[in-house]
Formats: sequence, structure tokens, C-alpha cells
Amino acid sequence: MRGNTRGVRGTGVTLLVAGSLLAGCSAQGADGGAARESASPSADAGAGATAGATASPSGSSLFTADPSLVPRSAGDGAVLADAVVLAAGDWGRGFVAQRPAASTPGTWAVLDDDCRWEREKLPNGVLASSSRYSRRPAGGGKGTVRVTAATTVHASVLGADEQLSTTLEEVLRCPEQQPRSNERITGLNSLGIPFGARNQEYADDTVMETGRYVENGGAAQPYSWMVARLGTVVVAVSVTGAKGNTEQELNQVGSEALAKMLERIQLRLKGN
Amino acid sequence: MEPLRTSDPARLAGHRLLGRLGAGGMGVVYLGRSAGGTLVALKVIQAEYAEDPGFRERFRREADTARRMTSPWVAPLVDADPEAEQPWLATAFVPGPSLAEAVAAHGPLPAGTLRVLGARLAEALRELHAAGLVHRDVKPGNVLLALDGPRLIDFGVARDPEDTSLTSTGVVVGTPGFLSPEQARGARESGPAGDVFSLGCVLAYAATGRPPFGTGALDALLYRTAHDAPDLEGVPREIAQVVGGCLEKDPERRPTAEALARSLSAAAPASPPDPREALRAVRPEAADGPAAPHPVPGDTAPEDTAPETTAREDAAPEDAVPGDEAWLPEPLVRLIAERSAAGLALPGIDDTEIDASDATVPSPAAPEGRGAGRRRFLLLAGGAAAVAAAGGGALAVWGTPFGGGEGSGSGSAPDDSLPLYTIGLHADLSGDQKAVGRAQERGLRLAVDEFNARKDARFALAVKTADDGGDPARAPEVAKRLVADRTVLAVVGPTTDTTALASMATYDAASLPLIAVSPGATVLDVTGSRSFLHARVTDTILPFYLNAYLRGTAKSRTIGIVDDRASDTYGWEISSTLNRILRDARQPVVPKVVSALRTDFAPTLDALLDGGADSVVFAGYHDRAALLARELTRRDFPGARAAAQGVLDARFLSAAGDAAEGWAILAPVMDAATAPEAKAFAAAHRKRFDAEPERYSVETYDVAQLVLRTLGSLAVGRRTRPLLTTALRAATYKGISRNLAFDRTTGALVVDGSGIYLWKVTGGRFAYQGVAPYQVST
Repeated sequence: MRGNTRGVRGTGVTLLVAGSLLAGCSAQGADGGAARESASPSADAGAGATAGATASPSGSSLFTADPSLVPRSAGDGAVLADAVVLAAGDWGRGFVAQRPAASTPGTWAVLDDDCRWEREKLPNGVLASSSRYSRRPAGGGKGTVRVTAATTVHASVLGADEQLSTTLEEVLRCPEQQPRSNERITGLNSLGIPFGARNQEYADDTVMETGRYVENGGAAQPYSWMVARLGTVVVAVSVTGAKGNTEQELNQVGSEALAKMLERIQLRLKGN
Repeated sequence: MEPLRTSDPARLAGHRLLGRLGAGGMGVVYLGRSAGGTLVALKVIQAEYAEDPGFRERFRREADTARRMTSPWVAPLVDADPEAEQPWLATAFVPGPSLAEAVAAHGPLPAGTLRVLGARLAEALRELHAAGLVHRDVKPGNVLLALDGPRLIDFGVARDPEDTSLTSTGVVVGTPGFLSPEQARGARESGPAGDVFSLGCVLAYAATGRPPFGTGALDALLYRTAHDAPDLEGVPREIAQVVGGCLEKDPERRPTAEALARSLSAAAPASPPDPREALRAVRPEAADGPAAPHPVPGDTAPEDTAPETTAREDAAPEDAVPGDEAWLPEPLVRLIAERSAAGLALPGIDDTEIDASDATVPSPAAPEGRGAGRRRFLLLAGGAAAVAAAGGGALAVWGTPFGGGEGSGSGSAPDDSLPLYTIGLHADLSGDQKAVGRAQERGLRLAVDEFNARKDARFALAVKTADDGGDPARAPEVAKRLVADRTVLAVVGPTTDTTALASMATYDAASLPLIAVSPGATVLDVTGSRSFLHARVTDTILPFYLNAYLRGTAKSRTIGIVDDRASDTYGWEISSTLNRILRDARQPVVPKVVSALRTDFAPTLDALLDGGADSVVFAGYHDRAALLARELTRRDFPGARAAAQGVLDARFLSAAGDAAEGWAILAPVMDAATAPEAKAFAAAHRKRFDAEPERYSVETYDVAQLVLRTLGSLAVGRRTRPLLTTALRAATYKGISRNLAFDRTTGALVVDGSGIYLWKVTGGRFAYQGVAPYQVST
């Protein structure tokens, strides 16, 4: 059993490392795998160890959840999702809510066959999902930074883990995506880093995506999407930058936000 | 050798100065030539010190000491004038590297050389001590190696044991690391036993490459010398006891120099005789040459051991009878020869006859014009020792007892008179991939055994294996073991991506070439390692072959890709690259990423069928491939199934059973047991091991060929780890299984389409189909 304090404190730092690895990866080009970081222990030439084989009942290698606190119903899931997801004020000074500020309860985002994002009714196995949209208005020579925080609570660890597999699959299926009719995300690269691989010790599984975001045919801006799983809960952030913000700064904004949500999950669910 | 500086005189005390050999605490040492033509090391006290009576007194004593010495193992005094305005002393020039340089450049010395070295230096000390003197600074830098034996030089701090006038209490005279405990304590009474202790340190250093009390901070070093047991690990058995005796803390318990000389001589039947005797035996007239009051080493050697000859290296083993001249290992004989050639660049020799066409083959036996011939030779010899030490890190090694250590020596014993180099094998010999590791060991051993059996082999090779069990946590320690063995000039391995990643920094830090045969991760080529060579294509290349097979051979229209997250980056490199290839070619593709937690592949197959996939690529390892295989069979999936080398494992066959039938594997490995190109290799393998060659044996054999050929292409003095790395990265070799050529910056394999083979499961076994096509045939 790990000390929660240690896990929480370490989270932000480790995330930054992971984020920069991803940035380095995408900088290597669109090879989609040519710049992978080191392989995980489970990848050891055919050992085929499955990450979940020895997972605790909570499905986490990181902390032991109190089973009585793990959501089983849509109602409990929604309470947890809303408690974990970051609102504008949680992102830091200067962030304000976008309009709309939150997703419609009982729905989540799905990438359709035409690579367009649609909100659909939650499927079976997903208890709740909550997204909040915020932005840091332009100022001081820097353009507007738009951010999204999302929390999805699953009924099972497998269901939560498959959300990350689906995320990776989406990039294979759609290297270009259309969040809204006037928006495009292009040149997407993605990288999954399971717990224990390449020094990733802050979540049971993670996926990092990077690409470029274009709105109304304007200038391309850096875009990143970071997803992490802890037990049955999946948290995600997107950061869309603008001129005047370095990718490193944007990366840090995203990493800290993700770390904060992971910390909230542990505080809510941890056992004794 | 440094050129003369403008402040240096052109002539001094009747000697023409040719260059600077070095500068010490109290003087400069020049290379000079006497009026008679003899090359000398001319030691001159610098003007500012010459005024100091203490230094002049010490210099006088050094000269007196040297005059009293008649041992052939001491660089003889040619002339001296302690009373001159600038006192000077000339000793015969010794054409060889110092022991320090030799060990730094070529690693530990073999037992035979050590015995001769120890016996002769003990004889030198015996005479010194008999004259009532103590050297007080016996160290590797003060031992020069000549073709006929060592020479003890530099009596700069020699003094009578009774004479304490030169050393005030507490001043350490000597060289830390080779000091006796009594010297380390600053004791006044340091006597002959202190020299014996220092000689013990010198021998231990020569035997292992390490001073027996380590290196580092002076205080700690002196403390360890006084209190700790010496580190004698690696000192050959036959001299370990003698060396240990020299290193007794109590001076009373150490042997005398005379006893030491006796015991080492008794153990050294092949040691050379007094060089003057050898001289009289071979060419008696030369002994009386006026220009050579003492013979110049090399001048006395029989023709066939002259530095420039390559007869020894070319000799068949049975011809290599150890003779008097054979006390030095071949690489050092070569080193002296190479320095001789380099010595042509000596400055200030306008009045010396040089015949360039003859320069590299100086013949001391030339009957006519003997004076000129002699000068020419001496010039060469002088230049030899004058050349600055070769770059550090040179680690060629000879004479290490075969099969020593972990019993991992190769089976065929090479001629121990040849220089010996070791190829390390870092492998998984006991873990999940032990089948691959063991096959690699056999491939390597076969190549090495064949090489050692060659009559024209100019060096011998050994194999040293190190097993990490496939555990990345153990891999760095395994790497350190191979790095620590300085006979190891190259390492083949490790077996897997993770062990390679975990250990490559260790090899890089030691500039030890690491050549991977079976790992395929792209990250290996982008870590920035300077010593890594990737002898197979990365996993991102395999999708081109998978595509060619499925859309070409198997006529698939829509490929389904199953990425197994349990295989992390291995699967992702294959799945994401194949996905991109197909998208770029505007071909339909159905990608599916499967959670590592999922064991039921039914929904995966549903998705593939929904997407219209008529073939499947599994990007993952053999165990979970079996799960998918069973599901495909259960559902009567009619299309082709393919995977990369992660499924080429016997455990796939047993886990999948009949469901394995028809699976195609594209892998960077051939079946040496059936491939026509590997027929000779397979026959040799069967003969040597009484077994069929397993996968990755011939691939490793090819890499071993690359290593031994590249090693052979390097001059002896250049057979070092860093230079071998550079040479390997520049080398090309057409192997049985693949062509080997590398990116000089990253060590990545140059992709030329060779080396990927098709296997297909037929009748419950992997049936080899030969070379895999790279492009979709139309």
C-alpha cells in the first residue's frame, strides 16, 4: 500500500515529465511510433503480462480504494464526477468559464464514423461523465487559452481501461478530427503509457495526444489531450494554446490540472 | 615527444638535442644524440633549481647511483656531469613504452610477461640495494618496456637509506598508489623493503590494470595503503602469492629483492637471458660497438622478431615457440614497431642519414655502412619511445587464460601466444527468452571457434557470456560485469528491448560497442548512445512486410489491425505504422486497440467484422495472440492472419493449438536449419552442437563475423573499444541472413530490404517460407 501523501505530491512532477516525453515524441514527426519511449515491463518480449492480472479489487496499482466509496450507481457516479472535474476557478488565476460551461448531464463525447465529435447518451457501464469548459482570456501579449476538464466514472475497471484503448484507437481511425463544425484537429499523434512503464507512476494508465487545432480556417494552434485512469475513474484535460504561450507552458497547465483531478479521486475514494 | 621550445638550447654538453621527452619536478628530460651517434635521455636540472644546493646534491647522488649500476635491467648511465653549471645526466634511450602506457593502452599483462617483468625488476632492485641504495619511486611510469626485457629508470629520488638529508619529516617522496605503508606514513626509515612493496604494487597493476590500493584522493589512498588489504583480484595464480608477499604491511615480512628475483625466475623458465648474453650469442661484434656501451634493446633481437615483422601474428600456432624475445605480448611488440615508424618525424635530424624507403624496415644487421645504419636504427628506436602515449581507452588485451573466470571460455583453445580479444554475450539465458539467448550464444561461439581454428588467424577470440535472465533490473549489473573485463572489446546483445534499454547507458559510458541482434524497439536508435549498433531493422519496418504479405500474397482488401496494449510500445510501433502505411496508400483499414485487461477477444472480432476486415494483423505477443487465434477459429474467420516476431514462439503453437494453423509471421529471423543460404552454417552447427540451429543463431553468427572481421581490419594498437565502435559503424558485411551496414551517427541498421523472412504455421509447426517480399506485388 502506498502512502497517499507521497502519491499525491509526486503526481504533478511526474506528469510534467510524461507530458514532455509526449511533446518530444510528436516533435519527431508523424511516424506514429518511431519515437516511442522505452517499453514497459509488461512488454518484455512476449511475457505478455497483463496490467490487470494483479490489480487490487479497486483496479488500481496506485492506491487502495475503500470499496464502500467506489460509485456503483449513476447518482453516486455523478456526485464523484462533479467533485473531481475542474471548474474555471480550479485552473488557476485568470481562468473563466466558457459558454456553455458544462456538458449536458447523462451524455459523453463520441467520435463518429466521419471523425466528428458528437455527444451521445451514456452507454451501459458508464455511470456518469462531466465536462467543464474554461478559458484564460487573451492579455499581456498572450492569446486565449482554452481548456477542457472531463471526468468519467465507469462501473468496471475494464470499462474504464477500454476508454483509454478507445482514445488510442480514435487517433488511428481519425488522425484528423472535427470537434465542432468550424473546428479541426489535425496531425494527431498519441502515446499510451501504462503504469510502471517509462517512469509513469501516477496513474493506472495514461494516454497523451498532441496535434494542431484550427478554428474557422485560422492559424493552427497547439492542441493536447491528456487522459489518465485511476481505478474506475477516467479524467482528461484538453489544452488549446494561442500565440504567446509556449508549448511547455501549455503542457504544464494541462499536467497540473490532470494531477489535481487524480488527487481529488484519491482523496474521495481512498481507504484507510 | 614534444618539440624543443625556443628557450631550449640546440646543443647541450656535447649532445644535439632533438626534442623534449618530459619535464619533471626538478628538470627537463631531452632526447639527445651524443657525438658518437647514441640516442640518450638527457636529464638537465633547470636553471632555477641548479642554484639550490639541495637539488645539486641530489643530482650528484643520482649520477653516482647510476654509475654504480651494472644491471642490464636498468637504463644504463652513458655520461653525467653533476658539477656543470647546468648539471646533466645521460642514460641510454629505451625504445619502448612505459609500463603505465602499455597497461593503459593494452590492458593487463599475461602471466608469462608478469613473471619476467617481476623477476627482472627484482634483479634490478637487488643490485640497487646491494649498492646500498633505495630507488624510492618504483612505479609503472619508471619501468620502460623493451623487446628484451624491462628497464628501471629515473633515480631522481634514490638515496642511501642512511641519508635523510633530502627528506624532511612528513614530506612524501614517491608516487601515491605505489608507495609502501612506511612511506605513506612519512617514515624516515623507508628502506629496500619499501621498494619491494612498490614492486608488488607495480606487478599487481600490470596484472589487473588497477593499483592494488585503488585510486582517488591522496589521503584515502595513503590510508588504504597503510591499513587495507590489497585488491589482488585477477592477479594470475602463479604470481599472486609472490605479489601478496611483497605487499605485507610489515616490511620485515616482505621478501628481499634477491629472494623475489629467485622465486620469480624459478617460475619463469621462458624468461629472457641477460640481453648482453643474447647479444654475444647472436651478433658478438655488436657488443663492442663504441657507440653502445650497453646494447640498445631491439638491436639484439633475432631478425624474425624485429618490430616490423608480422611473422608472429601470421605464424601457425605450432610454430609460435616462445623464445627469449617473446616475453612481450604481440600487441606491445607492435606498439614499439608502430612508434618506430612514427619516429621518422623526429625534428632536428638534418645531419642524420635517413632512407625513407628503408625506414620501416630498419636492419641492424646491415653489413655495410654500419655506422649510418646504426644511427638510422637508433633514430627510429628513439622516436619510438619518444612518441606521446596513444589516446586513452585503448583496451586490446592478450594472453588472458582461456576459460578462466566463469567457465565461459569458448570450447576450442586458441594459441596463447596470439593476442586475445573477447566478445561478450549479454543475453537472457535463463528467463522468458532463453531460447533466443541460447541460440545467440551458439551462433557466436560457432563463429569464434571457426575463427580460432584458422591457420592464418592473427589473434585469438574468446567468448564471455553474461545472463540477465531477461530482467531489466539485472541488466545494468550484467553490463557492468562485461565492461569491467577489459579483454571484452565488443558485446552482442541484450536479448530483449527492455534489457537493452536498461543497459545501453552502461555500455555507452564505457564506449564498449553493443550490438543488438533481436531487440526491435525504435527507441534504441534514438537514445543517443554512441556505442550502440542495431543489427536488425526496427519494429516499425515490419509493417511494410505485413502489408506486402496481406495485400499481395494473401489478396486481402481490408486489413484489420489488433493492437494489444499488453504489449505496449512493441504492438504500438507495428499497429500505428501499419495504420499509417495503409492510410497513406488510401487503403481501407480497421484498427482496433484492445485493453490489456481484456481476455475475451469476441468483441474485438465483432468490431473487425463490422468494419469489413478480411484479414487480421495482431500487434502483440504470442500468449495473447493465441487468445485471438482461438476466437478467429471459433468464429470461422476465413481471412488471413499475420503477426510479427512477437508471435514466433513455440508457446504460441501450444497455446493456440489448431487455431494456430495458417498464421503467417513476418520476422527478422531466418530458419538456418532449412534455408539454402545457411546450409554450411547449419552443417557446422550440427557438428559443433549436435543440434539444429535455432532462431537467431545465424543472425548472431553474422554479427560475430562482422565483429571479428572489423577487429582484424584494425591495426593492433587500434583494437580498442571506441575505435572498434567507429569501425563497426562504418563497416558493411554481407551476412548469411542479412546485410549489415549502419548509420554512423545512430548505429541504426541501414534498411535495404534484406533480412526479413516469412514463416507460416503448418501442421503445428512454424514452416519457413524464405525471404519475405517488401512490396505488394501486382
